[in-house]
Amino acid sequence: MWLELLALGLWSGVVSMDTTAVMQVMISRPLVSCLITGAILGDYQLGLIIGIYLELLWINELPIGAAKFLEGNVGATAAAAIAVYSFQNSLRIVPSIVFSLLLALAISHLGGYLVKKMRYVNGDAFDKLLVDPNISAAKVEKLHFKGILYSFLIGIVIIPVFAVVLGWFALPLLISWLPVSVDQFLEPVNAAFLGVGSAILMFMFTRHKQWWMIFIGFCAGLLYLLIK
Amino acid sequence: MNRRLKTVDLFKMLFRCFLIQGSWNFKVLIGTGFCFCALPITRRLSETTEEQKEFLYEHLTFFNAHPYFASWCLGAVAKLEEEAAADNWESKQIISQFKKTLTGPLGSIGDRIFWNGVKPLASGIGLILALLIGWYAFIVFLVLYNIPHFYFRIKGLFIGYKNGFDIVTIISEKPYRRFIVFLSILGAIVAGIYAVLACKWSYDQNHYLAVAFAVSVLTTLVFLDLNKPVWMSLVFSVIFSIVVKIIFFFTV
Repeated sequence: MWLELLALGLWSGVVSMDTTAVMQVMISRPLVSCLITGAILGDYQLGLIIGIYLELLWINELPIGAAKFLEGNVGATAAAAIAVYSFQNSLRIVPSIVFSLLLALAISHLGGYLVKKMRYVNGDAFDKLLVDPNISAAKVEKLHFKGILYSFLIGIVIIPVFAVVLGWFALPLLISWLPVSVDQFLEPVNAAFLGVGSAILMFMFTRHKQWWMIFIGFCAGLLYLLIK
Repeated sequence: MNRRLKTVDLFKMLFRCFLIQGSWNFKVLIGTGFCFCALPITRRLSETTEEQKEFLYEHLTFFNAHPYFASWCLGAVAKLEEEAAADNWESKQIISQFKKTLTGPLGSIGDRIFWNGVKPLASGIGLILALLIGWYAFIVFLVLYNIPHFYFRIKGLFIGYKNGFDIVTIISEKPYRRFIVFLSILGAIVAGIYAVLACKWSYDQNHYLAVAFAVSVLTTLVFLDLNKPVWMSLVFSVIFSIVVKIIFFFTV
């Protein structure tokens, strides 16, 4: 269990760093990060499902310049961990997924807040460096690596903490209070997340006046289903 | 003394480019990161501590560009710093001015190619494959995304270093216009295919989920068109989807 949590913590740090600070090779995208989170915790299929639901939700949150953005990748990874733990402890798949998806939204806001704070801390360190009479290349490197470390810490703290507190304790307890008959009324929430993501993707390309291409895509999709 | 950068310095800078956003801050955005990436230049070219300090103050300034395209500027700056050291320029003000000039174009091209093109396209293809073949999809997603990512980062540094000031004539959206149009057309087709497959995936789980999916798509498109935030469309989509379920529950 501790080994599993350690692996989750390290992976969470990597996800947080990949989002902006290091590489940006997109292993932090929900489609990848949730799958791997699920694999670490022993249920890659549930991780993949969470990734599919959340992949497109923040796709138009562009980290352009100084724009504030939600930490969707951290939120999604936390959601995958919460969903897996919650399902393992409650044995009810629908509410585990639905509540995890909703929690992903809240955690992404918290993640975004912490990233903003981290950027202020980096700014203060930059100010101190500028007035340092003994400024050197090594000090610039130290400041830079500190920034990367903060980014790592955001992931390593947020995700495992929420996974344990919410996935192990809070959600299973909440789900145990809910009658099983409620599950069928929660199920459409998953479809809503999928629909919102799909619409966001379409909207990104309609900005380029490509409606007719989307229509061709519809037709291609339908053709595939007919042939299949 | 021959004050020239070595190939190893360029590779050190290339490696550092992948960390350029590590100390992102609101004061100089990725200015600190740019200076961090440029440190191999000063380590090779500066002969005294004072020279190194001068270099640091010169580059610890505001800089913003798309992170994948910052290497273009970095390569060009390496070339200019090399020329400045070799020819003993009196003032390097022109290098700072040059960096400022590149900020806009490098941000604009990168945002259009990656944040509005490659990223949503690779995500869409990854999701389609995830629905069709399962977890293998993530490999395709990462490969699709990272081929152009690495290409632009690596190519940019070396082209920048080769061209110096002349990089300005190379950096414009014009050469990439066709690529950007191609990405948007392909992205739109992928978005259409994904919508159909996601609807079918929902239908396979339970037929009323396909209706909930369609309602959510329409609700979100309306909200986005009205410039409303995503969370708002999500709240309404969730409410409408549950209403759909209730209607099905009492009628079917």
